[in-house]
Amino acid sequence: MDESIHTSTTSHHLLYTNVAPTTQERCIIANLLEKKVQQVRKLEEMARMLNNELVQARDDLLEHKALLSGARKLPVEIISEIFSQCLPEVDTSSVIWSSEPHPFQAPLLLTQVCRSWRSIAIATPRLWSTLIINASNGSPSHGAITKLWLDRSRNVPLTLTLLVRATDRFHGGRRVTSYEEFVPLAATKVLTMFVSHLPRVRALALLFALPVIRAIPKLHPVGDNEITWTRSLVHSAPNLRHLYFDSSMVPLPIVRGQEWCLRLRTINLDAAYGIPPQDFFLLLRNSPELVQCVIVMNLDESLNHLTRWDEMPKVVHSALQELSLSTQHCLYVS
Amino acid sequence: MIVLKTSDNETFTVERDVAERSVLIKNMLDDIGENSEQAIPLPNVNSSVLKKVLEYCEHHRGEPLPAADADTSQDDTRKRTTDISEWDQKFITVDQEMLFEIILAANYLDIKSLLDVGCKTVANMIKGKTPEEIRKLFNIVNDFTPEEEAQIKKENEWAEDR
Repeated sequence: MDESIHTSTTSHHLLYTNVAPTTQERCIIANLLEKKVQQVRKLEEMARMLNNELVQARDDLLEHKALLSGARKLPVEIISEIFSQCLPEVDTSSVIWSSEPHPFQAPLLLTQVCRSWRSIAIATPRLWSTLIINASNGSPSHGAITKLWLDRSRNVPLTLTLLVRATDRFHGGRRVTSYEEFVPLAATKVLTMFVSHLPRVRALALLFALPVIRAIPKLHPVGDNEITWTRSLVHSAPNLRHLYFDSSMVPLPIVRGQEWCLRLRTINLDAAYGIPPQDFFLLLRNSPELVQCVIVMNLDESLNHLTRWDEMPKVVHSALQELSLSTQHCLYVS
Repeated sequence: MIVLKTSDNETFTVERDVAERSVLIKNMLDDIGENSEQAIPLPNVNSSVLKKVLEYCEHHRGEPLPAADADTSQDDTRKRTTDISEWDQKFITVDQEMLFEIILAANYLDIKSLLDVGCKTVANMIKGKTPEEIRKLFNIVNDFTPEEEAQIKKENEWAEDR
């Protein structure tokens, strides 16, 4: 450092006094000031550089500390368990078990953090075991997300919901009734994918609005109120434990003394068809593990079979916690 | 009483039922027999972490141990909760390093309920955050290639279409 900046006798004897400097002294002081300004600038630049260096060193320290972080030491199975705990909670007592997939919710969220998390999330099938698709807007992308989910779930038991409500929307700038133009296609695509994974389905909810069913050929009844695909559907799901059917899609044969319902724990048949009483009793008899049962009975059928009520076998359900019965008039799908 | 020796050569003397919250220690005690006064070495746990772990075991002593197959014996459909009891929540309110060390120790010592509390705590830290916020929280580097970024974007495109 230039010593002359500090040791000016001229300024020294004037400092801390009220004495006015002479003209000569003013010149000397002005010269000194110029030097001091340069010195301050130099120090400021050094401080700026040091500060940058400090910030960089702190970042570097944190980065190196992170190398020893416990998070990096966690074995894959623990990370996988943490990921499972990140999943949205599932409530099997509700008809809508979970929420639709969302990019900022597990498991999709976990695939976007880093390569390691992504590969662990993709390699953990149980993260992909629950899927709810709301195909009400008829978007073709539902097929893609369904495929992604089912592929990643590999062979774990599945909880699947397909929800299709009657709704309109604008498409390509013009208003269309979506269930006439898009929903059948989207819902059929998703449903077809679900069907191919039925052997490992543990919980299934198909919640369709009536107009949607009319628009989906696969859901049309065949002959004597029999919807063949539904029949084959439940027969292909030997591991089914929880079943929710909505609207008019419940065919009579599915409740008739079939092996598939032996291990059912939840059944919710909120059907516009309703179920005749003898089928209801058969269902109860054949589902000894039932815990929750919500049934809509067909009033017309009930009246037709009124004389048979006495013939119904007695059934004991030790596990049953909820039984809800209601009746309604029969509605047939045209 | 049981003597436990940590990786930094500290010894802890604890009652048997407290130490046996750890399946690893219980099995070791079963193997070496009742009368051994030998210290049980725990080379993967340091003293500060073991102190915390023993605090947990002490609080939960006497409670029934979870069955080994507890997860599979549950109902078929996934139903879990990230609720943590008030005491456990207070206990696990530690800095991130200690949290991960407790998880690692619980895994090594085979204390399922403590591992569960640790995993739930980390899960609760993750929930509701964006990928960038998660990276910042856990010092994770975004190491995706541009191709992988594009793939991720594509996977999430459907969400915009809803």
